[in-house]
Amino acid sequence: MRAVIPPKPGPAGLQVQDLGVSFGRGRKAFDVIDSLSFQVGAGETLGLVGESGSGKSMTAAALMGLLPWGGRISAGSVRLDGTELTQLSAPALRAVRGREIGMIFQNPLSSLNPSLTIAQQIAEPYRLYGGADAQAARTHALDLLREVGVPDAARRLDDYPHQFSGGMRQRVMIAMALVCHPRLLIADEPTTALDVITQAQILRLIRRLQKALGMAVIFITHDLSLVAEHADSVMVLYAGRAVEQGPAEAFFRAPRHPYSQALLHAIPRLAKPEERLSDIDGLPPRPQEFSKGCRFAPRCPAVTPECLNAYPQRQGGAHHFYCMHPVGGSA
Amino acid sequence: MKRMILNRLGTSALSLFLLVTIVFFMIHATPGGPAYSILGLHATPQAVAALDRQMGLDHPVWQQYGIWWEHLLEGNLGYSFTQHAPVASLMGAYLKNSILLYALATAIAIVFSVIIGMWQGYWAERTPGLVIGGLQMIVYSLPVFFIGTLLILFFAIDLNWFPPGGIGGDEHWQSGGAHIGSYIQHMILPGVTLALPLTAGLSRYFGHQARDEYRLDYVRTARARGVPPFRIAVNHVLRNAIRPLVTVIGMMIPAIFVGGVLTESVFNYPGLGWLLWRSALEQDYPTLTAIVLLIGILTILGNLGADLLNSILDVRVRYE
Repeated sequence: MRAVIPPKPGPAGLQVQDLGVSFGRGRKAFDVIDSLSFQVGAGETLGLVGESGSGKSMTAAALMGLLPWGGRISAGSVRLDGTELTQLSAPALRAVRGREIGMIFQNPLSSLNPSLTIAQQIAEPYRLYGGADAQAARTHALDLLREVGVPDAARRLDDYPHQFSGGMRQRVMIAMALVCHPRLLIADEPTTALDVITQAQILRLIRRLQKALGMAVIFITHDLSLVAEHADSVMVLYAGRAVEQGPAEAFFRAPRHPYSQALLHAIPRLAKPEERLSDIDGLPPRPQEFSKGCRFAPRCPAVTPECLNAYPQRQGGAHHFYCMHPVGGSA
Repeated sequence: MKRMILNRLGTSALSLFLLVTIVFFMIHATPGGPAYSILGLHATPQAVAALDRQMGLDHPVWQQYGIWWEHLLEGNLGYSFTQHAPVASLMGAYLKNSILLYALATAIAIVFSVIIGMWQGYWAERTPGLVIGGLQMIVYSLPVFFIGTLLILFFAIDLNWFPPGGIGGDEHWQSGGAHIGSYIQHMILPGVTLALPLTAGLSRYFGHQARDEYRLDYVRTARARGVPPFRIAVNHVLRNAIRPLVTVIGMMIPAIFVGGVLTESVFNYPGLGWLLWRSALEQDYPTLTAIVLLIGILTILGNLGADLLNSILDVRVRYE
């Protein structure tokens, strides 16, 4: 593949340390994300896993500085290639979003502006932050469309989003995310709305582009089987906290947290068709209801009274977890 | 799309036909008949019969209906007995004054509605959005004659910035003549008066439209790509939010005329609304009828134009 923009030099990757996100002020304030630490090196993929409402998308929003109204980063640091993002002014952060971070969303049709052509949408940040004129931006958009595998790209530049199929729209979204050659790509459930074949094509495409451009990728999903296939490391979120994280290989060989275990048991496997799929009873707590103890305790099969008193200590090294009664015994 | 246009043309033609027919029968429903309304209730039966014959009212109704259509298509709107002139030539100057005033008011309303609405959409459900919403309700419920009188008090009498009414120094203002400079000066206060309630309604509608657009995923995409807020507003949100506005402006035409009648009577502005008011007071039925017809026709054509324009603007309709 021909690289559209030459790779940027310098130390690479994303480092997040003790990230906390809060909503509200004073006595009404509550945390939705708490003590999150992780890193993704250039060319690496982190799988961010959790149920709806676990804080996956909120984490992505915090990284980009796009928290909903009333939300703020209350603690911690986010460094992208050494630059501290939490300290940046709004215009500087916009430039980071335009140039350094690309994002792909779940529903490609609604994520595209129905009244702008594909060429206009792809090129927008390139013109804003790449300093390109209209002609250069258009040529660049065409190169990108070819790169993400849109057939007959030259003829489709002036088409509108509704004229594309679901898979092609997601390719367009990927082209949009890559327009300024970002160092970090956040893919928020990029294949949920697609059929299985298209899903595989899109994931292969993301992987190919990641290799070629040396991007760090955060892959947000509730589907552990996709993480097993595509991620180098895993972080499992529950109720705004990481319950278990580590290299993918170690995690899938021996998941330690009862919640990770339960998630893995909820994946259908072709190899063992006779096995009953298990689900997890109950619902995750809402942020206003977070207790000081382990947040999974009310739904946990291994719960004991001490689980409710204090948040469990970190256990383990590269592969670590927060549980007093881990699967397979204490470390 | 072709089917849609034919459909709309058909509906508009039907509406026009019904309008002309209903207005015809309304005239015939006036107590005592048209002759009595012209000659007064104390007219002698002989005079009534003579006038009936002169105006063709002794023919059967269906024949009169045919003649009515024939005259309309020839542009013959009847003769005003109080102003002693053919209605068609009488209306010209008033129509021109009104079109200028209404166009000014509509332009003011559109410009301010888009600006206010975008703010309201951006700040939806937060303090600034709620304040704008409250102001809209207050202004919307203020009667035109109240706003007009207030503006006259402040800007005409206290500050003496604008004339309190009329259309210029020309003593023949009733025939609609005036000089350009004073013409414009005389249009500002009535224009603002008419525009205020229109702006309140239109900006509220547009504010909701913008708010709904701001909630859509493509706005999140634009933010995630570092597009600055003003550019998101203009290049992304406005583009999508403004389309339904065309239809709404088409539907506003009757409200513009209603407000126009009140505004023109408050400011003694010689437009169609003023003429309507005067002819209603003087029981000048031919003029009244002609204005009602004209307003109806303009409303139907305005709606048709708005719908057609909207279908051209909507890329999704255009390409399917």
